[in-house]
Amino acid sequence: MRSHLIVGALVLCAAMLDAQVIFPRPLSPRNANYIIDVVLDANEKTLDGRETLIWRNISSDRINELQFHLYLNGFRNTQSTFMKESGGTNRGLSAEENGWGWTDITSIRLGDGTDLLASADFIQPDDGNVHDRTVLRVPLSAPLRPGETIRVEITFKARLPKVLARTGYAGNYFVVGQWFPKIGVWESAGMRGRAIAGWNCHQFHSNSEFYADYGVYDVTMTVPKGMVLGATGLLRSLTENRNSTISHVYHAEDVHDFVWTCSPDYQVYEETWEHVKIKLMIQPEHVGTAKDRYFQSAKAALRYFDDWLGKYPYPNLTIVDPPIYATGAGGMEYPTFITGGSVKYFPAGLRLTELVTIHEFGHEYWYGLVGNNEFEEPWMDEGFNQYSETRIMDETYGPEGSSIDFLGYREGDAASARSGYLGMKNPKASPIDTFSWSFPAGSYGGLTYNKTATWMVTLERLISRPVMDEAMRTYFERWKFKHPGRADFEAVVNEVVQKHHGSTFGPSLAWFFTQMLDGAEQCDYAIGSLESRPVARPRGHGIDEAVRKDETKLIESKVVAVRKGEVMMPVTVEVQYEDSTMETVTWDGRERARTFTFIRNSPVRMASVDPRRTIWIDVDFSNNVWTTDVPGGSIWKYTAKALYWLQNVVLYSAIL
Amino acid sequence: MTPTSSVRILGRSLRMLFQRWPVLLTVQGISFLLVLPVVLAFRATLANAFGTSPVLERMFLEFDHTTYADFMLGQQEAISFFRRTIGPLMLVSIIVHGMLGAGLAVSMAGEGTISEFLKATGRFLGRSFRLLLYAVLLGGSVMALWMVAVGILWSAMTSGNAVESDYLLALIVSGLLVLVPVAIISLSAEYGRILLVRGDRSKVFRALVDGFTFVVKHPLRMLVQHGFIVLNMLLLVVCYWIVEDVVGMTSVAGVLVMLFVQQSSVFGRIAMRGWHTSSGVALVDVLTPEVTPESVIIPVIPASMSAQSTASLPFEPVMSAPAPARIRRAPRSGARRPAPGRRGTARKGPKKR
Repeated sequence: MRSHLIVGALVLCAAMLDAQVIFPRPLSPRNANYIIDVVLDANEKTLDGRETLIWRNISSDRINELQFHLYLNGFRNTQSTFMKESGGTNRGLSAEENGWGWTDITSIRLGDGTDLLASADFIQPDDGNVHDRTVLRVPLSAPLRPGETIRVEITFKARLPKVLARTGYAGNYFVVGQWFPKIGVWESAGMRGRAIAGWNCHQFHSNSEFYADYGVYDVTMTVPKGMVLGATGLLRSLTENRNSTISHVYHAEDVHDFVWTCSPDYQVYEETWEHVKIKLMIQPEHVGTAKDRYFQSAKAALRYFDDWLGKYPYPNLTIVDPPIYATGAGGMEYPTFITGGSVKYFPAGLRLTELVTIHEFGHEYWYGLVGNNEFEEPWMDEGFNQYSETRIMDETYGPEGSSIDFLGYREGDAASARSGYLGMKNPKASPIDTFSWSFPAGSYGGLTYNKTATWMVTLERLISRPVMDEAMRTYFERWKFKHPGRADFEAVVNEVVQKHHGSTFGPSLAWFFTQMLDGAEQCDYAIGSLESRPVARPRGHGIDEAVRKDETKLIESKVVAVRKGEVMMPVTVEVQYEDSTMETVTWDGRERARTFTFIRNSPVRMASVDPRRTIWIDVDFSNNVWTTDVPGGSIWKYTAKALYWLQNVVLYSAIL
Repeated sequence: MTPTSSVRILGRSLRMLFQRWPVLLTVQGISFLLVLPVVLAFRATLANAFGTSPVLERMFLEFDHTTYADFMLGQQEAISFFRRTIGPLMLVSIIVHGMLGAGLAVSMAGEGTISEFLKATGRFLGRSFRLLLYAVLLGGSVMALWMVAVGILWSAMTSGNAVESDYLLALIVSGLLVLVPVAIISLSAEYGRILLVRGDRSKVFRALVDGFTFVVKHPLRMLVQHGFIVLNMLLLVVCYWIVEDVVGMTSVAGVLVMLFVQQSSVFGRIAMRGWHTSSGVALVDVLTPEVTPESVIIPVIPASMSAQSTASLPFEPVMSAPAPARIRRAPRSGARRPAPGRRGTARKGPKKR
């Protein structure tokens, strides 16, 4: 009987332990695991934390030191790299005098008690700014051999910044991101094209902040009673303490970051999409305007990614809606946790909430599941995600007005991304393949997000959507829970394109990627001229009698297609004859100008280069077509509109 | 309802307005000529930009964001010319319409012929310009101070952790607070102009001050009378939007129909401007029928009785109080037409025996 009881107890324990596990088998290497206990002082805006890092050396290198991100130090003072790069302003908010944030490590010890703090120092691998304290180097007393695991005990005190960007507090609203000492990524030689093995642990920048290893997180957050709390992963337990605080224990697996939020004002709603429980933590004033929009767009994104690339593996997704006074913490992505953006009274036709939700959810794939390096190859993070966003937005809400459909003005998301690139002050400011902090001022978003999305649409239209989808799916499957680089993506695309198109696009698509990623030039094809004239009948000595007597009147039409930009793309030239018949020819697009001659019994009425807008990155579609019939009506239409509005402007301005 | 109710004044001034449609058409013509050079430049830009591109066909049928964006990006110089022109055009328009205002006020009170309107405009040109200048200077100074106050109020209302409803309230309050001085200054200029031409005054600043006094003395009438006209103006804009949507502009016939509707709408807008003036003229007449702000009073000193005596009279002269001062009314550019329904009441006095 006793033995039965013991067995029963063991089975129960096993079952309980099993219940703690999210995934029966690890999805990732799980080499960076954390156990953290943190207490929030909501009045002082401070954190008091104890952290245990269990880190395994999965490389074949001997490692002599560790490197940690201490990203709250980006808000320490005006001398940090983040503050210098951002100028103390971000997303419409400015740094406030009492709003500084920081992290101070009070101890670092190995599991055996060896102190590591004494020899630790701050390093600045990106810009040499000696005042920046966002990366801490911790030399080890003995090298860590391949396969070995190290246990590091850290205690820290931190103060949260007033929300300026991504993280911090605003009133009693807290979004606690980048808050704990987080280890960098050890990269072996060859990984992501790296020549020498070493730590990849960048400073906190204005443009980027994410690159980390996967692991398991067990985090206990103690906050004042009455706070509604949400975090990465799943809630495991709640404990009410004697000092009017509550400890929330969360568990997350196969993620590379951990974030949490709390506020007494949140209203919480839950809905389910297939295996995913969606939890919305929303400001009370936004419920009427945005609640359904959040859920609807999150489900649209989940469904799309599921069909397109593969399953979202986690059982939950938390969406956080920030108040308008903390918009700097909106539009952020963390594993299983995103922050959105909504404004009360916002019309349904302005799809801000949908756009932000879909975009941030996309990051669950591009950086969350596929662990790209946002610092060094931001286009593989934000660019891929922007491309994903345009696809989902345009297919969910219609390509003509997915972003804006308001008072007769309509703008699709892909069109919006293209305009975002073309509308830059200097679209040729930099190649896309640039470190995030090295972009010239004001060019990061336009090039990383919008130009990448635009060339990806171009690639999709060149190689066809099914082939593009297969390439993206293959890339996702092959690189999820790993750290790919540019070469890895190019290799996948080349492989899939070769499989479907053979050598149609050459031995590889290097010509395409080089122009798109390494060059800053633009693409612009145009029709230079269109002329038609009758073909003169042959005359003179030796002309065949049949030819001489031939009454057929032939017209020779000459179409000059022009490459105005530096970028070269294969294009088609299409002509339409007066008798409405069509003809299409292809052009490799290399020469500056190419003349095409068409001889038929009907003149060419209209000629167009790239008529189906395959080359979406073409900077001016208005010069792609030429016709012999001048459609004057539309000029008068817009002239009449201009006349009317100008008359109104002058009349309404005459108020005195 | 009193005989001088705002409704009656609005009705009376509207009838007055309808009788003066040639004047309104003249103002529309002037407005049209004002914008014509810019519009023609815009048309040339469009034609040059697209040449013979059938992209225009697409734009003819519907709004296409991509084509629109490419056009805007490809024609930066032309677009910036267009943008640069708007500011100066508005300035010129303010001056021109300010100066036309005097002619409008005269014609609302007078015959309402085009020649009268043009003559009055010319006669009051200098004074109208001065009045406009004073209004701009005074209004600008008041508005600058006012905006600082509104800015402080806005900051106070949106400080701390303000949410959308706080911003909305601040927006409404600030909007109203900005609107009030704008309306007062605008109406002061309008009434100053009316008083200026009514009394043929030479002291322009005084007329503006009197206009301001008149406006602040009758806030309710201003609100009802001019607020109603503004509502009509907004209705006109909404009607245009609806009609434009219904007609569409995807054919040459559609463009022509819309051109007609547009110009009708512009005419309506000018009529509303005229309605402000005509109702102002009517209101001033009703509220200050005897006021002649700057009448030239020529005192007539009676001669001595002996000097007046020419011969003995067959009867004793009746001695009474000294003869009253003779009031010379300001000359009018045209005979004033008695207002309908008010005939004989404006100059009501003791019957001559």
